[in-house]
Amino acid sequence: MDVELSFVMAATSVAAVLSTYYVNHNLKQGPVKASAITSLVVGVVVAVLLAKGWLVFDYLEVVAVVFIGASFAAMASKGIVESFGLIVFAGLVFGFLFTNLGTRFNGYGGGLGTKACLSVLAAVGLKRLLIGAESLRRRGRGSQAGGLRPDLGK
Amino acid sequence: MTPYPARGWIYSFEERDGDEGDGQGFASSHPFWRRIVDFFFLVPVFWVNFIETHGHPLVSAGYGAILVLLLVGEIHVYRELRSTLRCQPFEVCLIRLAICLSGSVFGAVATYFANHTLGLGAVIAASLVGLLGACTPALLRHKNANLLPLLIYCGAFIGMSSMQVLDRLSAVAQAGLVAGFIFWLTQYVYEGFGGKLGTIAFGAVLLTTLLLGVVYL
Repeated sequence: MDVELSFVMAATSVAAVLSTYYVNHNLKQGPVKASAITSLVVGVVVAVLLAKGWLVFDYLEVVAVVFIGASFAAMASKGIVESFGLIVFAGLVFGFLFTNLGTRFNGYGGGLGTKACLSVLAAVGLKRLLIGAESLRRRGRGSQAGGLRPDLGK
Repeated sequence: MTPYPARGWIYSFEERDGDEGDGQGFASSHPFWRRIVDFFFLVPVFWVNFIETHGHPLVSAGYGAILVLLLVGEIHVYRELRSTLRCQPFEVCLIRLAICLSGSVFGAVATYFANHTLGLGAVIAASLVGLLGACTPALLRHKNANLLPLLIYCGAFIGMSSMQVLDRLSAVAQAGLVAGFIFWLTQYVYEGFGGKLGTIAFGAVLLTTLLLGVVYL
């Protein structure tokens, strides 16, 4: 596992999801415009850096691709992913998938979006697990305070 | 509650907006095997790559954790779906189908042209076309025009394909048609889910390349 590549991918993904989610929901620009604007800015900056040779960096070309892929994940509505914490988690999962998935489907349009969908689905799964754990914890507190389980008290 | 009939042309699910039903709804109207099949259909990239990956133990552990989260998330999505599927009149379906097909074909062809012919690169081409698509509802004052940005951006993902996968504009347009049709069929499923458009685009590209005999899996 290439640690440097993993770190760059994770940092880029988190930056992408945070900026897109902010433009989408806080600035209320809508998912398509948010993803397109942020990706366009990063794409142009990377293209200029590559053309001028101002920044020599091994993974610079991949950064723009990872950024637009992660921005797809941040197109999620607030009903699906309602907090910055969850969207950051989705970004980290996207970075992991991008770094470690095989290369069979490279060059296929929509491959990035599929990985983004997987990362959002994983974030929704985490949310459900956290909600379940919280309800279990509250039930435990209630039984300690009341001396009886709520369902037995009825 | 929507004025649409409970049983309509495309979908035959009995629940509508605001209709709580029996508390089970869509989840109870679909057998368990159907959910499993759909789950495996949703993540083809993940499975294919999972099988062929021989990496670090940490990577394998990460895969395992993500698989568990995916399964939990998938079950939650199906529970949420029960009130989103509803019926629409025939004319509305046709208008929305026309918008879906035209939007995705335009997005795919425009992005492919900007990407390969103009040489802008996949990221800048898709972003520009997406930005253009986001402006269309303001130009076309039709009540269904709010679908266009999504469809054009979905088509843009198809246009990001390399020339080894889709080697001519006609193939890109075909993939756009397939994507538009898939979007039309699934417009009330996974609403607001990040990555839905990309997954549709990927399925369309894969289907088109398989149909055209470009790849051999």
